[in-house]
Amino acid sequence: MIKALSYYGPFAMEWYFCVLFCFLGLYGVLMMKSSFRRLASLVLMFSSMLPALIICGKFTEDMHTTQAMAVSLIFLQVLITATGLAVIRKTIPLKLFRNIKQKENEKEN
Amino acid sequence: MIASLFVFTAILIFATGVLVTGRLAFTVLFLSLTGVGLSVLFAVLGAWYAAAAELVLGAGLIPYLFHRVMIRLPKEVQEEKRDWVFPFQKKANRQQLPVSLKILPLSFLIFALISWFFIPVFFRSFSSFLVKLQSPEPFLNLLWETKKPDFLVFLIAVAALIFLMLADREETEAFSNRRNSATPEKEKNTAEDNNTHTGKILPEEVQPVRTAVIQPEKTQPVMETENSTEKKQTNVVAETGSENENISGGKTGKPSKAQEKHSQDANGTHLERKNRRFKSRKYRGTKKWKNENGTKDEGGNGK
Repeated sequence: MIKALSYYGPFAMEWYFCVLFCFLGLYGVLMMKSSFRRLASLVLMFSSMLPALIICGKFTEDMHTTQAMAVSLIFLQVLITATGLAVIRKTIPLKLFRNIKQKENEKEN
Repeated sequence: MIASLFVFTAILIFATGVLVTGRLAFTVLFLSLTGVGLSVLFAVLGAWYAAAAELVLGAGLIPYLFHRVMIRLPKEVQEEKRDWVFPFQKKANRQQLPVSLKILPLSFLIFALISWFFIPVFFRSFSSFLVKLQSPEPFLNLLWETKKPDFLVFLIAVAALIFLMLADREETEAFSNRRNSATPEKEKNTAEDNNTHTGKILPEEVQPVRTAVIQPEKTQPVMETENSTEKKQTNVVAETGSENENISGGKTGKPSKAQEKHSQDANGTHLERKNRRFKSRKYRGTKKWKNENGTKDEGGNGK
């Protein structure tokens, strides 16, 4: 394992963390019940994949392709986050308001 | 190296903030921290365009969007969102944790093992994928040829992880169902109350309000004077709202000559009777009314 780490140079630990955080984000997307948490986990996945992409470009010495892919990924991340937040903004308050009204009715009775 | 360490510290803090504390303000803060750290790392590695894009969008726009959604939510919703505490932190729920949530550290260990074996495979295959981007070689074949044993271990670990996740999900749902088992009865009660408020058609057992107005006619004494018969008529008509308004006044609320004439009697003045009727209407929707429905008369009749 140490050989493998040394073979991939100074970026081995970054790779390890990238993959770890990617799986952590995947776990959050699959397991969390709150939609805010799911969206934040998705952003975590994107954030962990971006440095992996850039490090790959550095390793292969093809920074132009890598940068193009990274910028596309960032735009995609912003689009998905904005759409998800808009959907959450439309749906969540209605559900919670319904609960609040039920609580008020219970208090009155 | 310092920049990359800073980035991964920020990502680690962000992940911890999302998954452990889970508060929205912390999420916004750690999002912007992660964006700044990533842009620094990209700049160090020479990817200037990616650094600029990450700084503008990742550290600026995404936290701004989260923040906008958070401040637009009403206060009640924000208070509920503040309770985003992971179940491990709630002392009251600690005894009631589902079994599989206690296996969570084990699943994190599997994450670590997966990523350990995943590093060389993914790194080599992805870099060669970037190099051979022009060639139509399939990505999975490339992955298979690079390192077979690690790939097999990776597949087994992923299968174990999916199994753990599914088990955990079922346990969590069962746990939440057990915790919310008392809610359907409450909803049922509130639905019944809403029916009484909105005046929807109720079953026959709950309806005797309308007939209760007419009941005093049967219980009136046999010997009746003129006053008592007129009084009976006015009360019945006022409650049922019949069309005979010339005699009683009915829905309009204006007292007729007969009412004015007999306003001072055992039931009090006209205003007092009206107030009693109003109170009885307010009383109609309550639970007390539902319990005493068959025994108590409506107001306006003086019992």
